[in-house]
Amino acid sequence: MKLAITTYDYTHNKYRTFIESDYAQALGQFGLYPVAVRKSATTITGEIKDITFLESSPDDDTYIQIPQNEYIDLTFKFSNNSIGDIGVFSDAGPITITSIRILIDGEVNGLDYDVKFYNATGGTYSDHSYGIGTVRAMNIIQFPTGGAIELTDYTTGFVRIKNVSSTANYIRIYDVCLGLTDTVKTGIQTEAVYGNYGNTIHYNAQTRRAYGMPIRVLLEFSQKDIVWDGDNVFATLKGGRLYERWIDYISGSGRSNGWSTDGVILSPVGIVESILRDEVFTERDLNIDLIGGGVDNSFALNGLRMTTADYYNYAIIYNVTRNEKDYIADSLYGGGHKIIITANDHAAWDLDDKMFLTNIQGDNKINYQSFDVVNNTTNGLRKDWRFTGTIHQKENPSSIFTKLLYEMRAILFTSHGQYKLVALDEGAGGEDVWTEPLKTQGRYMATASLTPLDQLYNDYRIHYDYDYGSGEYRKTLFVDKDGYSDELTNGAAYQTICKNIYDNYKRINKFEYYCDWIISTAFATNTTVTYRYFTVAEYFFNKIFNWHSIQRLMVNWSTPVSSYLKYEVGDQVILNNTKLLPTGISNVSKFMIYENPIIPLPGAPLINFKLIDMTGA
Amino acid sequence: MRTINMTAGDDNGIVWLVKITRGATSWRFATKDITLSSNLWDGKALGINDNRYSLNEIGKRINIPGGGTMGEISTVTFSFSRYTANTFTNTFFNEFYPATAGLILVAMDVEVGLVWDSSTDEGDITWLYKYNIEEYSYSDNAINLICSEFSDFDFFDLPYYEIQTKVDNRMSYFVDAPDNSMGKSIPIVYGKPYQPDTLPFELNFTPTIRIGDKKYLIASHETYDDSETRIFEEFAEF
Repeated sequence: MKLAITTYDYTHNKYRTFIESDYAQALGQFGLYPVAVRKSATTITGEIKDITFLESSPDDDTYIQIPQNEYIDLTFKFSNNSIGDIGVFSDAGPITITSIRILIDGEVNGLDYDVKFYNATGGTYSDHSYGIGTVRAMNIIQFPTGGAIELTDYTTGFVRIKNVSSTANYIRIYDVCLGLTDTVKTGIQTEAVYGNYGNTIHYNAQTRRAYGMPIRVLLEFSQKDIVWDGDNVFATLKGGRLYERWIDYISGSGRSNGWSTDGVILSPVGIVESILRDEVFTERDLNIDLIGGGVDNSFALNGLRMTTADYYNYAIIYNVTRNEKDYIADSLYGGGHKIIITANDHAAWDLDDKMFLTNIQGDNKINYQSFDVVNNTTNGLRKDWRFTGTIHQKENPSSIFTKLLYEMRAILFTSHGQYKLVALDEGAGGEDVWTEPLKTQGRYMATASLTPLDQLYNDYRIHYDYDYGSGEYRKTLFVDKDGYSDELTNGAAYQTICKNIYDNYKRINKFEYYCDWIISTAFATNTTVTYRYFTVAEYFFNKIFNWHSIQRLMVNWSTPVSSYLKYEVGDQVILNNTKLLPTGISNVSKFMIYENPIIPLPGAPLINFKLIDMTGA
Repeated sequence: MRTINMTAGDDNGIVWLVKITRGATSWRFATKDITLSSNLWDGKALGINDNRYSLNEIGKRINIPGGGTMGEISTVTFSFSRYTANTFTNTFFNEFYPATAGLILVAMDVEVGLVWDSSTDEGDITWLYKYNIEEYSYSDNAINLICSEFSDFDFFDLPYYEIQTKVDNRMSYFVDAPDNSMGKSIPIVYGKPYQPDTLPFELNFTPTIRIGDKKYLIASHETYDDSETRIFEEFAEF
């Protein structure tokens, strides 16, 4: 396992991050270290004054901005076994730079960059020029594309990045890191290192931009006086739980949604389904009490609950004694034993091996089609959403789901014992049209009202990126009648809406929410070159704002049973009746059913539907 | 959208059906005597009382306007008439607990569905909801059942495993764990706390549990790039 851990340093009264010595190598040999940013062209100012720790809260607001036709040199200094003052390598041999990565944001149609390294006498180790055409939001440029740069003597080097766009657009450099094959050795007096650079980054108070690089030290070393205990050690890892076989197969048949067995579960829908199948539909603390005679795939398990034939088919069986797993191809009850047949032979499995089962009846208890509508990687309604979080304190699954579903804006319910998941989005089209509710004494059995005023908000605060180490939410998105977060693409429009609500309703109503599952993420859509910056928090913010910034129309609509029995909670329909609905809503808006009680009256059964307008949701 | 198993004949009357199941045995009740696939459904049991069937409303509610995310646990109540002619309820006293060796009615599965009156096939039934019996009471002329949808989430919390030294289950048994780790839940980790392929580097963390000298536990399950162990060791020397 490749890990970074953070712990509370009582000596210096702060959290610190530690990386295993081979960690940087395993992650692609990336280590961050100080880069001197110097004045280059006419309008670039500022100089690095700081080395910060790799805190778990890097400052994303700091960057260097390069206007059209300007450039900047990022300079480096090396000795034959060290980088600047920060690290001593494990041997005195050459330093090998495998790659340099630079994170750039902007919208330009031309960018050149040169990489040059010189030895002590001015000779050139490497001199490479590159160019790319279009830079879009949050690109990573990486070079060299082949081989590595080996430095055997004292050297300086720089990367010159020039904005050669034909249009007057800027680029912004957010981060630079070098990939190194060497590992940094112990013995560094970290305080001294940090002392060399001070502890401030220069900001322009007017622009609120920092003209300095946010330098982060990835490789840092502990000090002996740090107290380690069970409450102050935190880990990070490249991925949490993985998809099991059920993401690819349902009752033995193929399932296609773009996700694969052993892929990291990143999507919120995947997390919901995994909790159901991997944590809820389980039987644990079992052991083998009989092994099938002459075959290696038949085992009787002590502790299984059910005797029904085939009940455990397609469940996943874990032998934790052997650290192996398989799926169950068949299950039966015979001779007083509850017997499972594994898909594969397991000659090594033995009596008293400890076992547990997951995904029991999962293929029958989950309406997987409804999950895939939201989760599939092609056009799933939440296909770009990514959640990260840890369940580490005992909590009822209902409350876990409540938070998960709320943050992904979806509902989960059962229909004849089967779980269905529906996104709270406005329908995409093709909805059925209802025209006539039932009548009683010549009057429609239908009424309409608006969502309560206390659900109309015009002051939003959504906190996210929870840090388990510090116990704090590191980021907040907000909008109110007076302002908004820079990160909000629609911030100005939202501010106007908040002000209009204030003007029209004469009230300020505050919405504040703390996310459990949304972190500050930069997720790759492509693992090679092109990256796109997804702000899941903004997705969530937009959904919440759109839902709560208007009073929505709610309709009670009674129907007979026979032709309306097919409609369930979560379905959407269009209501076309100008006596009940105003112009612009009648035969236009899509309404989602949120209640469907059937009243089985003799001779005249009816359904009292309740629906809500989903416009803009 | 729900699939209706019988489309033809929906202008006929509705026959409401209630089925109680225990293993391979079932007790079948209806609002009208009906035989489906040679099985009789007792029509006198779910009778009319005060112009209503004894079956009350059935359906689903989610408080979407108020931010609700999960359907409420719906309940249904109904009564069976204890006519001696009824096939399934005439010997009620002797079939269910507290009768000697009687079956336990509570927690049995109950399904509610319907067919159109012209049906003769059980495949025509559209099942609507599935419940468990929670309470029953009776009088000299009726059996009353209160049923709730079964919840998979009752009576247990997550994470399931917690550090202990009582049973070697190979999952949560860590004899070298310090006292203050005992009883702590072993985390379940989702997502991608570390983003190795992106810049700026973002580190998110997950809690660990100390399980021994310089050993920490991260999760009760396999994680990415973790083919061997859920445990990592503190650095050996600094």
